[in-house]
Amino acid sequence: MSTKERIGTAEAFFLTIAVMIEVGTLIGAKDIVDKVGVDAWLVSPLETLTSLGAIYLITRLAMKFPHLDLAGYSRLLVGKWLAWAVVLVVWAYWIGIASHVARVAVDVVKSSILPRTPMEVVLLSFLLAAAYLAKQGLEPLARACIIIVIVTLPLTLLLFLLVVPRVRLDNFLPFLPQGPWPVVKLALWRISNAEEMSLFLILVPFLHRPQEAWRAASYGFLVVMVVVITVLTTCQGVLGVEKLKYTLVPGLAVTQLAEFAGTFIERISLVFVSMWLILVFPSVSALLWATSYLLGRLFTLKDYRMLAFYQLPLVYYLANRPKDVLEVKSFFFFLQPLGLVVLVGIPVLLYFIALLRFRGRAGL
Amino acid sequence: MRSLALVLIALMLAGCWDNLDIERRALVLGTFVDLVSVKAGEGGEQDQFELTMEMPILRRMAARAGGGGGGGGEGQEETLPTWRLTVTGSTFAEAMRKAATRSERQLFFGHQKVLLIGQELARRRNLVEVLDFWARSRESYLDITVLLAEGRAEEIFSARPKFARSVSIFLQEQSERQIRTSRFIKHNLSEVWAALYGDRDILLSRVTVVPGQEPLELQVSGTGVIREGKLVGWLTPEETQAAHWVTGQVRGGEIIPLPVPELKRIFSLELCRVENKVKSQVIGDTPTFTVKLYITADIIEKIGSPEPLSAPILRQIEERADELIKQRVEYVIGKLQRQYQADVLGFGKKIEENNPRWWEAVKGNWRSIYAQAPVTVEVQVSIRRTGMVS
Repeated sequence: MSTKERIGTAEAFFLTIAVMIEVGTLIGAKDIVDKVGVDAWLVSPLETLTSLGAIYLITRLAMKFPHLDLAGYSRLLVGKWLAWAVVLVVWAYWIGIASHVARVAVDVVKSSILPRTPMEVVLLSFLLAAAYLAKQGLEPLARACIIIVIVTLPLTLLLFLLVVPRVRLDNFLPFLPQGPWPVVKLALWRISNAEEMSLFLILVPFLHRPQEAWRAASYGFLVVMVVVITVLTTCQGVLGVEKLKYTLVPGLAVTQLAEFAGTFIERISLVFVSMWLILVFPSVSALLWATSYLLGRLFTLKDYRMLAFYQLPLVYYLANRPKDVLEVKSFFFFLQPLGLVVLVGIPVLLYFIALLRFRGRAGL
Repeated sequence: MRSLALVLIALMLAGCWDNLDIERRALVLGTFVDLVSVKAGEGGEQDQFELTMEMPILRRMAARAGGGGGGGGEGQEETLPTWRLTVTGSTFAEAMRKAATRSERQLFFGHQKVLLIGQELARRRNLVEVLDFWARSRESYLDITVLLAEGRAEEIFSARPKFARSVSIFLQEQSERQIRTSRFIKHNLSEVWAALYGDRDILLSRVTVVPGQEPLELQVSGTGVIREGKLVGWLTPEETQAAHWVTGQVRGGEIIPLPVPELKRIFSLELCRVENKVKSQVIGDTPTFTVKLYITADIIEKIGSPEPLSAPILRQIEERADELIKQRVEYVIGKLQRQYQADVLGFGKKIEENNPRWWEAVKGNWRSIYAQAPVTVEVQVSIRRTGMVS
């Protein structure tokens, strides 16, 4: 690991926000409504609590070994070969997430602003730019995240506030017609939607103050969930459950109804797409950086950062593999269960082993 | 590696596949759709969609705006500064592609304001099919106002708006006047689509040509009743008002004339605020509904005896207003229940909210249950002000 790459708690906080806001914000409402119908608005607040539990576990585990990353402490806990397997699973997960995010982002761009530009060109441009930022290392990436979040997030939220007058309260009724169990079940299942929080498996040793990892992660996640809850609730309140089921990108559809007083500014949703794209970009960058770092650790490379570019063919292939927009979800079906493994399964396992093997020893 | 990346990026980003200058676009302001029969070989006939798109001729629009000067120009020009292009096709997309053979500019739907659906098309085809193209199109917006034409949509173009520079803009701006009147209902594409996909019935505003005017004038007034996606009948402007009161969508400012024979006067009441409460109850297997309306009104005009108003007279007027509004609401509910069997007032949704399990059991048979459901209407009008005189 390069010792030059250190980030402060504030940078980690902004990094968390920037990498967490990605395609789920735009398409999440449809996924939730498909499963729990009119109670969709209850899922995200509950999911915040369950995901915070998983994040707490990840950061607790990482903070037990503040100077080691996943490769380091898993080797210490389960031995070299099992550690290899664990790292490979996490690497595969992050590659999958990066591919999925890139693909959905490109689909949204294609279906909203660049219909005639070949998908391959949009995808490659997007990935090259993301890899370029990843190659610069963690610190520049974190600084870029600060700028991106400060500039784009308030504007994105403002656009959604413009739509709030169109929210209809009866779109949230009836209340729990199927009882609370489907909502609770989905909230637990959606822990796996906090995908990028798994980056804290390797981020802690990069922090100037590793002991503040939980603070940076939890505060960042809470900000993200405020955005997510605002977007998803607005989508349901404006579009209604039935329309949500048929809308591929509800977040985009909702902003089509935003209007400024005076109405001389039209097609505001395109502004939204542009800003949202800027927000998605750090997610892919961070994932490319993280996968490069993990590969570098596996193969004990001195400089791992160029791997961000070398991995692009694989990410490109996976992102380009689903034939159509409807196949994307089924192609990347493995991300949801794998997310539970990475966000809950592996941390629980390693944490218990750490408790058993290193009881009473802190700051290893 | 860096050079290779730079070359790749330069190659890909130097041009733009989607670049289209604005002067090469024709901005569609409104689309008017009808169903027409065309000959389909061997003497047979086939239904096709007919689209008439209205596009501004910006050069003429600008000239018209600049040349008005003294303000006496309205209605003076023989033609509007717009181009109407009519095309037909077995699907809307096909018809629009045909337009490419007749327009040197590329049609752009990003600024479309209205979608007007002809009566015959709305009666015979499910609106889900009609709206599908607009719902899928990446250019068109969900905020497009959806209206119904009494008769053929294309005929609406025979009218000449006095102030607006195009029929589409007239319809859009007129629809925005719902803030002043509840004689029609403004629905955008998103709302209509949500209702249709949710198997809900809905009211859509009616556009008609005002008879006896030369040049012809347009009005947006009354509504069409959409049941199971198809037009089944019309509500008059007064019936539409009453429907608005029940759904609580009144934004205030509505005026109703109120004859009070015992006082030998006619009053104009401005309804400032209409609060509605619709309660549902299921007793056995029979749903019952209670509609309670709390209306705050002002007297803004009086015709008849010059005797000043007093508090007891106001109570009399309130009682008469209660009665009149109750009659109108009961009439429209009865008409919707028995004549059209269309649940446009959302009684089913109330049941779903309050008794979700019972709703799940009966929703397949709801239409017939709804038609028989007893509805009680209670109205309470409070007159607060009488204007600047008593």
